[in-house]
Amino acid sequence: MNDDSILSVRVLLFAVLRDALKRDEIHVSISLAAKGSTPFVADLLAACAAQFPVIAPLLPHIRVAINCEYATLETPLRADDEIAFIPPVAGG
Amino acid sequence: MKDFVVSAIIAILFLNSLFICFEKNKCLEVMRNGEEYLLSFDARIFNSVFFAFMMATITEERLRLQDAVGAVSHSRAGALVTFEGVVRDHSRDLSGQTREVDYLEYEAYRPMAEREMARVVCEAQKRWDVVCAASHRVGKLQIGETAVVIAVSSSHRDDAFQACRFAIDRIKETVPIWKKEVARDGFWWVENPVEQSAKSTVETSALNVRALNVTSTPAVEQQSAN
Repeated sequence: MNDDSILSVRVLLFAVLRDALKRDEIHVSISLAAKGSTPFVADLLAACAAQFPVIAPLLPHIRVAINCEYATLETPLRADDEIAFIPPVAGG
Repeated sequence: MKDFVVSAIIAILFLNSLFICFEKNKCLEVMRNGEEYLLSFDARIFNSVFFAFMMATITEERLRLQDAVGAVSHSRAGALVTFEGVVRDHSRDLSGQTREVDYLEYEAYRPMAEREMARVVCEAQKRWDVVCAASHRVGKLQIGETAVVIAVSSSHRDDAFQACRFAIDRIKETVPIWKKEVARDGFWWVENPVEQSAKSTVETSALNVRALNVTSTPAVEQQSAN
């Protein structure tokens, strides 16, 4: 595979996810369906589950934020997005 | 040149924030009128300064109720409702067992948390005829300290009560803040309960959180500081 077929994104981790992986960010490589195609949040989660099996059980329960906005599974990703995994929140 | 522009912008923002302090009543008036207000560029700058420093904040500093009250007080307000979420010394785990808590640690995804807090405040002001301010503290909090403070003013009490209730509920749902409860024999991350419709997901999720916690303590709390 060459570089065009993989998008590497940085993901910020907080709370229980950061504790589980003992770091506050990870890099996830997403294989693209076609060269230069746009991946979606769902692709990121699938790639993350495969590359970081320790947090895989929690991924169905987190929300993903892109550039400080909650995203859906269908939200497209770009290489320069600020991506964060948001575990269940507990403010108040 | 670039530096000059940046300094000029900072100076303008600073002067605007001073202006807001001096003409707070006028500003609050404008804020209540939401949409017309957004049409004015000047007003938008006021808005950002106002929200950033007064109406919706995340801070490591000790929260003071009177700051929130001061931010919403104005001469046309006939009702003032406030809410404080306070750290208590015990918490219930999933099995219903009460456990003693030593202290809490709050963590935020700060840029997003500030945005979401501001959004909650805006939403409350849009839905009701109120002026609302909210602050959440992060870092280590001892028993009895205030974790979140909300103040809402309105002409009449109904709007203020409803908006205040809405604000705390929404903050608990959407603002990316996490709470670690620390006991003598371990710690665990908490998750706020969500609506009944999503209950099964919550239970599963809680179990997963427990599995991932770096403690053998069999406790994932539903709530600790309100």
